[in-house]
Amino acid sequence: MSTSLLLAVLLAAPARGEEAWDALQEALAPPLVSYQGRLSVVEGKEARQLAVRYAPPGRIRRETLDRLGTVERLLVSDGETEWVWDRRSDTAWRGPDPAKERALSDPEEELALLKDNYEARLAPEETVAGRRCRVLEVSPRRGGPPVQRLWVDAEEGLVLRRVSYEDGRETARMGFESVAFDVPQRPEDFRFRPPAGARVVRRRPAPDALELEEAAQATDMAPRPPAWTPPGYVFESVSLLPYKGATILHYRWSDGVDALSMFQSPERTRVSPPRGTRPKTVAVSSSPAELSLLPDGKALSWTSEERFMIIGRLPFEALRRMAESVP
Amino acid sequence: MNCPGFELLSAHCDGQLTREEERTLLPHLASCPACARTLRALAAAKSALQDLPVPPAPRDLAARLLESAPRPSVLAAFLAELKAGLSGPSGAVAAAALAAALMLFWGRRQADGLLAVPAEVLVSAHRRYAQTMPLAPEAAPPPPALLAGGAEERDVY
Repeated sequence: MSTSLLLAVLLAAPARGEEAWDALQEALAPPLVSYQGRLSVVEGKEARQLAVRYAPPGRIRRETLDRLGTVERLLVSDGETEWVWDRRSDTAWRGPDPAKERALSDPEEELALLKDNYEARLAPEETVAGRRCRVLEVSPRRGGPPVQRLWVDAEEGLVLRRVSYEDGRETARMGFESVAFDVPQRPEDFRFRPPAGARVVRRRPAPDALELEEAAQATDMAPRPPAWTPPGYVFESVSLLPYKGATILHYRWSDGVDALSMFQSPERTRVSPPRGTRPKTVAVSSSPAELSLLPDGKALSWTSEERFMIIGRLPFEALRRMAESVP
Repeated sequence: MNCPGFELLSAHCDGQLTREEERTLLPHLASCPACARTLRALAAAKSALQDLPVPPAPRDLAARLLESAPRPSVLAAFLAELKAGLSGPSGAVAAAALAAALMLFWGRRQADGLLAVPAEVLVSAHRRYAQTMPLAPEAAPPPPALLAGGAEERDVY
């Protein structure tokens, strides 16, 4: 390779890296135009078909379709109020749009955390649902195979396909099978009126995104966050999870891509293993604990006066070390 | 609705659709000649298979099956004895006593004040938090299990 060509390649590398982050940032931003389409979602052994409509700013309609193409479940938001309706139980839930309440981190801080822990690389362009897409690979900086591949519409910046990986193995896939942009949307498609006779439940989520001191005042438990967390994970907040008169503390960490949770339940609670799993008995600080495998991670639960559970997409040893660092 | 796939028509022919699926499919079948034709062909094939003569079983089939059958385990033998013992009036009394003992045990555990928290409540909360991640995928409408828990009040329209 000639010197000038080598120089060109070396100089282009950081530029390409920045181009990849720019493309990622575009993909993370809310779409500027309306769109509608059909997509398929596969998580583990579960596959679903969805019909989606979107109109800026923040109006969304998502229908989960059964195998006959009938709407099985519906989510509608006009940007302020979110409705979820389930056909089988003929029940509708109404609550504030979660996006309005979601204020865990500043978007720039989120992107900075993502950049700290992951690198983005552009792969050759591909076509999804007839649209030209830039292909992004997101891989951990500490090494290892990609954790996500994203196919981003080259014109509109919408993610048309997303594949998640764990240890190089595909764990989830979402992809548009058909999509159209800038199609006029009817305002009534983003409003919902419960069918006659449907049961309506008004959701009032418990206070979210508390500081540790606030959470301590809200319960009669002393917060016991772990002294050690896996590298790259940043503590975001504590949330209160009420359940039948008890209040469970939900500690939350993120590394920019993955979520990590720890739950602290009062002494008088008993947490059953996740349904459909066969928990394995392991040791945490020489005491018995249970490890369950979930489609999207692992759950480690143990008792130390109170009842604890850690859920995350991490090796068992990292979960155990975190558990053993709980004071 | 659009025409269903061959698999669904076959499932309908075998009576394997749910009631809801039947309710959705039947009006379509009444108005779609193509699907109605396919369904008639499926029914004809099924009928033809059922009309095939059943070949006679070999005379030594029973002996060959018994010879190749695994020996019953100790547990299976115990369960067979238990089942035999529980049949009849004395067995009914024993079963009732066992049920009563189990209820007392369970009742005592509840009386201890232990609150059973299904792991699904915690897993759901984790997943809702995971949805806030920047690269979280497009979220399908959550199932009712993910909407349970938390503070709710009920209005009936």
